[in-house]
Amino acid sequence: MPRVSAVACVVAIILISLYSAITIEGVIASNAPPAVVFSLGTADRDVTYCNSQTMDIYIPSVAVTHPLPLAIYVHGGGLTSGDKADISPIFLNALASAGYAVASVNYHLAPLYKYPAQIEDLKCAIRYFRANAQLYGVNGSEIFAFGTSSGGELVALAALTGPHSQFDIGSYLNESSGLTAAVDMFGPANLTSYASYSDTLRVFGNNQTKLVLASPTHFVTANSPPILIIQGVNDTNVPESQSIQLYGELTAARDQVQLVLVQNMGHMFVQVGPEPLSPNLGQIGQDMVAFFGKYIAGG
Amino acid sequence: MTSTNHPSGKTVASRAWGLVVVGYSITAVALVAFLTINGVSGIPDAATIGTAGLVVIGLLLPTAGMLQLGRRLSPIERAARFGFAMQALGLLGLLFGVVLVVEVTTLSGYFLSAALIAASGVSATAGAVLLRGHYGAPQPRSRGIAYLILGTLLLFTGVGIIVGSDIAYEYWISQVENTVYVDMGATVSACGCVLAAYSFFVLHNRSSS
Repeated sequence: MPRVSAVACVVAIILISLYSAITIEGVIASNAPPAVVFSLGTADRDVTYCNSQTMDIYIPSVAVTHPLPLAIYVHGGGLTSGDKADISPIFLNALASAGYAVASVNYHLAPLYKYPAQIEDLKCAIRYFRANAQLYGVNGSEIFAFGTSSGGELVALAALTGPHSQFDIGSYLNESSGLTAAVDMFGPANLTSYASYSDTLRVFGNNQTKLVLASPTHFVTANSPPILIIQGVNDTNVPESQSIQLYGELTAARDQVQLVLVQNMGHMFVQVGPEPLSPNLGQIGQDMVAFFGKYIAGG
Repeated sequence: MTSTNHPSGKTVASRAWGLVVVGYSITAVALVAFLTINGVSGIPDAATIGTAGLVVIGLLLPTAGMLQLGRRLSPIERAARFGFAMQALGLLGLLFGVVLVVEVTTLSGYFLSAALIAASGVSATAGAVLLRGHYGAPQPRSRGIAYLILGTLLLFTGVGIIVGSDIAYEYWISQVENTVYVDMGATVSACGCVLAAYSFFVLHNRSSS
């Protein structure tokens, strides 16, 4: 009997350890998204920019004009998680088919890097492309950006803070970090009134005044770059009121702004209820291409 | 030696040993359940509540068992009585510490929980060491005490890793890293529980033979 119990003890410990190893491997695997498949041209992955951050650059082979306009994608994840591989293939292909080079960027994440490290990285990425426009065959005066969730917040901030701001630090400071136009997909707009914004301590530390500096509404002025806002009406993570407030303030400042309210959509394009998204993802992608197209020279 | 000369006394003592062994086993199962649901979104409330319930029962049973075992010792065996009491106190403190770390989401709460768990770990380990004098010989029984000390250390180290990871999550590490470290902590603790359950099984067999 004692020998049986000893064997049972050893077997239990081995099984627990094996099960744990499998579980942990699953956690790691599920959080390392596979590389995005891109069949419309060449993909240059893990390009290092600015402060040791990486980006994937997709250059379409179907382009008819050179240099190419560039659309930068900024992933979401509450500024604490997410990856450049989170880019939607639908949006990537829509832009590439229309002749846009697309870059999906990583940026420093909280809590190790508190805000404003994230917007500083994005601003630096924009300057990087202007400085290296010839290398990538992109047009430095036609740089667009689109982002989802906190990525939407960052692209709105990048657009509204203009070509040279307090967030421009680091490399290529002679270059502008301004955007030609931006698409903000359900990004938080005013963090001071964003009660459900979790992780404020992790992202901003004890300095809660940074909430203001992370709010696109704080930087609304006249003559800002055009912004298209995409918002799900069923989004409980970033409520509709956030996008409506930004739209209202941009409209009041006489800036060019459009708001598309997507029916049956929760956060991150999740369908809520039995009815499909309206407009659907393909149509949203085409809306974005059409919106950017209005601000391309001769477009 | 345990005072188990009376037949009904033997039954009570066996039940007390059983409580400890079963309790630690339940805690091990609860920790495996915890590492399964940790970091997974969309887990039903029933699964979370069930796991929490298992943890509470799993820690209360050995606490009760140890208090009974201590009470059954003669008053002159003060060190061993004290040892069981300190083990029980350690497990009770661990339970409060775990409840605290789940309930609070502030950094000060995490630190308070960490302090409580550390103190409980010291108490439980010291209790196991004190029992060594009572169960130190013959050799197989001293092996049982060695397993108990190791099991207790693993149990508290694992929970320490979990709380430490939660604190680090506020400052340095990502959600994925936190999930991985918490899973590792739960694994270490679960192995400690299995070892502690086995140690009491060995000690019981030796004391009743």
